[in-house]
Amino acid sequence: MKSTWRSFIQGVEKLSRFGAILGECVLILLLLLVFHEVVVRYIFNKPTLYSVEISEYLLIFLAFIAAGSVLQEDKHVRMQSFTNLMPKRMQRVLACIISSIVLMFCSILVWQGIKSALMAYRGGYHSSSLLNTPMWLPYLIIPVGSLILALQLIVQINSHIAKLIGDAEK
Amino acid sequence: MDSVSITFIVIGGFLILLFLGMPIFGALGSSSIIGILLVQGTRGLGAVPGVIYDRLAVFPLVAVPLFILMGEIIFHSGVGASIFTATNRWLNKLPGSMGMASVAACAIFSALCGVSVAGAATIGSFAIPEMINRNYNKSLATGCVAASGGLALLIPPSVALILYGVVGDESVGRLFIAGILPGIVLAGMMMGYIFLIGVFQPEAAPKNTDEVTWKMRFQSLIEIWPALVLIVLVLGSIYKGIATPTEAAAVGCVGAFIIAFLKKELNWKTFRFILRSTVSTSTMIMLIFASALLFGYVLTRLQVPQELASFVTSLNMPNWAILICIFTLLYIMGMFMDVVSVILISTPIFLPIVLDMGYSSLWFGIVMAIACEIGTETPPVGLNLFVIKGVSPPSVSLMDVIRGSIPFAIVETLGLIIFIAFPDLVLWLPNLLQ
Amino acid sequence: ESHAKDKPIEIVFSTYMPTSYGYLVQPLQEFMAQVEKETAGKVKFKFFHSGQLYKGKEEFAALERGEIDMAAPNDLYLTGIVPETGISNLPFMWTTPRSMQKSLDAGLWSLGIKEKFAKHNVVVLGAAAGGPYQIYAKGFQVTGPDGIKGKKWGVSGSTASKAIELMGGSPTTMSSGELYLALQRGTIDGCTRPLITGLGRKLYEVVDNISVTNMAYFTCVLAINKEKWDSLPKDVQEIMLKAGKQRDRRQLEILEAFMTDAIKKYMDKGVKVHTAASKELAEFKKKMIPVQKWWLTKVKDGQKYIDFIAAHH
Ligand code: NA
Ligand code: NA
Repeated sequence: MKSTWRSFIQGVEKLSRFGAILGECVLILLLLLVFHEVVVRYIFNKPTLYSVEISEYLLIFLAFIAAGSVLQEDKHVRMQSFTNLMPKRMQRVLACIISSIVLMFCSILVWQGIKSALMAYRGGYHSSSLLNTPMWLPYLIIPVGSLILALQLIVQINSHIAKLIGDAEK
Repeated sequence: MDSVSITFIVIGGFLILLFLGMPIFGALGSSSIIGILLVQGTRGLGAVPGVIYDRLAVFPLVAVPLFILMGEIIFHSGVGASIFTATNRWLNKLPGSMGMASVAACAIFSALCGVSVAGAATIGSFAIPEMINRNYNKSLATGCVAASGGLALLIPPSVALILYGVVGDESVGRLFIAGILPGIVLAGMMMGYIFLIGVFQPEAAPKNTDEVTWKMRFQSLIEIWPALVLIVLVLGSIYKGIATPTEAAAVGCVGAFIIAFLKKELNWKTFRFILRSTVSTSTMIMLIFASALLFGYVLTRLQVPQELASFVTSLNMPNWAILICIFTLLYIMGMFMDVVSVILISTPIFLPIVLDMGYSSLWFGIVMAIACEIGTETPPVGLNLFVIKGVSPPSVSLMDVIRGSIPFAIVETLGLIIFIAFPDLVLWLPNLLQ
Repeated sequence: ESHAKDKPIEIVFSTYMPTSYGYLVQPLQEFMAQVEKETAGKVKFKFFHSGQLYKGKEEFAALERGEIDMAAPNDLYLTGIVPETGISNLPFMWTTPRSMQKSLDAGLWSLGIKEKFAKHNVVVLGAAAGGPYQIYAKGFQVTGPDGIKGKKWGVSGSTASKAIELMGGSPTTMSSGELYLALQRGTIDGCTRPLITGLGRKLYEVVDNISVTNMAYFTCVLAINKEKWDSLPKDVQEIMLKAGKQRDRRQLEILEAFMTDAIKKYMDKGVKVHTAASKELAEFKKKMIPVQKWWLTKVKDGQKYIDFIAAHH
């Protein structure tokens, strides 16, 4: 049981890091795509029809895919001036509750995001451009990124609880 | 449940979660979900991914990660030190020269980077130790950098202005042009304040005794060519129609990469580091953006902005009184929240009121950016304060930084009042360039 | 249950169009007022305009899922979902909005489009002709397909892109919000948009020529979520259907008045307005034949729509 849990944690952390690396690749891709558009339009007078649309998809991807890794590095902006005044133990309990509420938010993003993607898949939603992108693809990015974030939150809650138990044993 | 009670639950819930230390995106998102459930039940939950996708997948926002990337490259290219050296040598003879040089360097750096933190950190890490070595008052030395670092929000490129443009449906290009003049004026006012300190309180800002020759001055200008090239590249490509403001970000990134490469500051390790930190800053900002959109959606559904606007109109207050209320609220929000959150939460609420009063959304974007800029240097949550504390020598306490930034916040507030009283000062340059 | 009877039925109506877009929004406001009046307060609308809730892109999905009850989507955003609606974007199908409304009233959308909407959980209460597309140009005048050649054009929608390509121009997708700066700075040379967009976005400040060709149209749909529709009492449904028809008529009236007025406004602002002569239109039309062929490869039973229009316009 314990070893399954440990490998779950390791798996999630790997997944988060993988998300961040994907995010880096997408960032470079986005840069090249937008720069390419400037060059072909200004120099060759031949703007593309896909650059804007694909950039928008890449942007959504970039916004969500690394969410787990940002949590891992504890870089999400938050206000700590008040909680810092509380006793350590209370801070830990509070952190557990807070993370659980965020986890609920993420779960709704996953659940409803998958529902939207399914609706777009079944209903044959496509973008109204020449690219005619099937919309379930970009729709799916939000639930996938949120899922990684949710898993990372579970790991975080677990580590808070472990510390709380550790404190109690001391 | 009636919509007034739901509104109180949503806003109250958000504030409680915020003060309990929940990440801002989570606090916005969770309170929005409570609102949706109370208004429409589970049937309304489709809006959670729906609204986020609707507002986030828009092309102008592509500029956000790209301008952050450009700032990161500049941050690692060693350009910051040479900018400070140049401004320092040129202002060398004046009272308070080194403080003024720090402000000027931050202003120039602001034209290279879209987020305030990078500017304050880069210039601060060279300028603050130097000023303290020269017996500058610790508060003055740190306060001036904390304050002028915020100019990055106002002087283009600016992530804050891009976000405002998207939420407020205003042209990002016009916002960029409109931010230039107020940025320069504010920098000038801050420098003026330091000059006066140098004249009347020379012990706080001792005069520089270094001998600087004209040759050294011009030499330092040659050192900063990459910065100037980049500024011209970004603003020039927008102005000349080579690129839209969004695309100009990509042009700037490519330029910055080339410069960093030529200066031999770019190896595989820094390259990876730059990418990594850009991705995490962008993710952080865009997640806040996404959940603030959701929060705005819920408030709109509850008709909070509409009701507020009609309430304000019904009070029959003069315009200046309404503006004082709005800016007081912005100040209070800025004390506790980061710039991105303040802009995203308050634009949908205040912009209709301001437009109703006959002001332009272009003007409001700029004065709002100034108010937010002041927020980055006010306690308890002031990102620039923490950053400056981080790059200062250990002898500097957070209180020193806070004490130092308050006079600058007052100077900037004076500037803000001028731009509120004379909107034409803000609109002059964008109208001129038409 | 007696309590529920007293409480009015609330309908959340969302549109991305701003209220300044008179001929599109005013008929909607009249529709809501009429329904509220005729149902004697049994129905109450909550109206959100200017994309306060949803912008154009996601409006239809929100309607299908039921976060909003009603919307007036523009079919330009729907061609990826119900490709048949693209019939209105095909170049030079109608010479005037009145002619297009005739096809719609004769039942153009009953050939299968309404059925497809129903599969998406959406009931169509009305379909009205939207303002035709015109050609805006900076520094030159377009008097035939050759005027498009070699220039960069800001367009929206797949059909317009195809049409510009066929005439030798370079289309680039651009949202209306980006047009002003792009035209001002010369990022693009011109664009195709209805007259109302140019007024709303102040394009008269940055272009000096407009060619009135009525080259393509869009349809402004009045639509309601099907579950919401089914939950309404029969009498309310009938009142809404009637008011929906009235909306279509009103939109045409206001649109026609608007177009005359708009052309005058552009001239006052110093824009040269060129109204295409029938010879020029014939030339354009000839060039556009492949667009129809291309469209028919995407919409297999598209020919019946084209034939229907030929019979009723
Ligand atoms: Na900046
Ligand atoms: Na603050």
